[in-house]
Amino acid sequence: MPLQLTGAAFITALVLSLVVAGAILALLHQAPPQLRRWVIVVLTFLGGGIYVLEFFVPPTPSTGEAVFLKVNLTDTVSIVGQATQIVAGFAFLLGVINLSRIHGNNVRRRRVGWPNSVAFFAAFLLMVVAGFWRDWKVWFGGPAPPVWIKDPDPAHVARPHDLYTLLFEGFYRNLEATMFSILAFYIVSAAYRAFRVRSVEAGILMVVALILMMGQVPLGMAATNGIDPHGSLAILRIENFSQYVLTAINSPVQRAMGFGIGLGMLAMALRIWLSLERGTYFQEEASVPSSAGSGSGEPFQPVEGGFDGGGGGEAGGGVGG
Amino acid sequence: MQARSATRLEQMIGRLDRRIVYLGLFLFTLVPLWSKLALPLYVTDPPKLFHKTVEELPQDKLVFISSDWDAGSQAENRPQFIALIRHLIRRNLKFAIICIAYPTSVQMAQTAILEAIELENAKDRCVYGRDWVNLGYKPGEEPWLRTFAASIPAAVKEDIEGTPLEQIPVMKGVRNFGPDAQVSTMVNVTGSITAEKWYQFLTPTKVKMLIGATAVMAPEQYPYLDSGQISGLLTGMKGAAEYEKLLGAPAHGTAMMAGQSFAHLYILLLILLGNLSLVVGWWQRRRLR
Repeated sequence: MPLQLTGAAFITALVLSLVVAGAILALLHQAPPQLRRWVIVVLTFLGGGIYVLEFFVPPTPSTGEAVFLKVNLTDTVSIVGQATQIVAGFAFLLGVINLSRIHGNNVRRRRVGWPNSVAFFAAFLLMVVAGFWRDWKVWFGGPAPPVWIKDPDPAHVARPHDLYTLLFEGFYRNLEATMFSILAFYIVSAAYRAFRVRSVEAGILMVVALILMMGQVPLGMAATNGIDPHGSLAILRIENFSQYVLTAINSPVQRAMGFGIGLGMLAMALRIWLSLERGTYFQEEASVPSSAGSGSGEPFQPVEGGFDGGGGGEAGGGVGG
Repeated sequence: MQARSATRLEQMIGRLDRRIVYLGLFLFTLVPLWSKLALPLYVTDPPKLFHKTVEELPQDKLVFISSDWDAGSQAENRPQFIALIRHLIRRNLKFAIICIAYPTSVQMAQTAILEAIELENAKDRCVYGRDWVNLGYKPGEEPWLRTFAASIPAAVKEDIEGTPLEQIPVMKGVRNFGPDAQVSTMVNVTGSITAEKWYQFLTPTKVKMLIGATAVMAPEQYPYLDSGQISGLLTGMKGAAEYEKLLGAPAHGTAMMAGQSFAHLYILLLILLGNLSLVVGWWQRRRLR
């Protein structure tokens, strides 16, 4: 039976966990870079080694579990799997801290567009308050939230009339969908400006693209509607020809690429597991003399001309060229 | 003088003001949607396979759905997802939702399921906890996926309401994936790179796998469809429309097909127009020689 903590016990355990994690992080932070690197190298090797061992040790016939030197590796792998969820949680926290730092600096120094950073903090706080208040009782106990925070009316179950739903369904969902929809306009404009048939290869690419695009929509299918779907020329119907291109031409290419990528990933995984990858785990930091400071060495060099060079003048405006 | 006018014509055809290009796309998408233009739709083999697989699923086993789409790909994935849920409801199949790509997918999936239940008028036939459950978001890191594939209760402890798994009727006794286990199928409706993760970790269990992908991702899934690793594939909004047709339940996917059709046609015309400028330039330069 797994340990289930609630109420004060849960809060205490949470605070203690954060204190211990903070203490370990502080100790690591104070340690010399060389020692830090070795701690990470050893942990990486052990973490990866458990999986390798669990895979290669033959399972016990009765239980199907891999046991090595009386250690149940199958159970250990399961625990490591759960531990990665906690590490991922810390990654989210780091993301929030980083965003807050960047936008906090924008506001403090009144950088160009600083009101956008204020909007970020307002939206972030509003969503955090609405989300936590709504589910606080479920997770931590305490009084039920007011109706405008959590609408308990079963008639509104599909679309509750509360703040969280308004923020999520009314704002976030539409804003993100709008942002991605705008991409379609850029892609159309880019395809028009850049898709020029200047070689045989470009010509083949265009013909295939046209077939697949029209095979993807009813209008294209209607164009070859006259061909008998069960006759000997059925392959010439655009939806069938498009499927043929996808299965007979695209599939082998994708498969070949998949094999290549798979081999590359295997080599990369081995390099990471054995810490052979250059520049990982504070290697550069460890090799720089302490007088050079704890930074990564080379100061950041901004890209000359900023980042608006590409895109065929799409962001620049006006008639292209 | 003649050479200059030739260049102007070439430029005029090849470099339309981008605002005109944008306005054209807007109108080419909107007008067919407004006019509710109905176009004939033919069902291709991958959605047929998808539908057939769901039709043949055993009713005493659970279907897992990895819902990995958010607002960015909802135009394609949401109709697929709703059609799938409607099909599961019609077949009285129990299902569990998990999200491994985006934390926001949890809420997206929840709202879409409730919409599907309303569309099927199945409030009594599809009850939360008894017939379906939402297990929330789990960062889809490989170690966790490895654990999940080996033992579901070892990797997931509770649902989004905080109810322990063993207290949720639909999850009682559910431990593993596979033909001899309690979960018959994994369906991944995705706008992210999650399908490959599921192939990697679930293929050894021999569980049936179905994919609903965005149109841009679908070509990558064809090798898996060929090899039989997946038992069906829905490609973008068209896949949703084809699935809706197979279900006899035209909805959002079908309605959007007219807009998508004319948008594709518009892109085609623009590409041809862009290339026409090359031909015009070449022809006029040849005349001048």
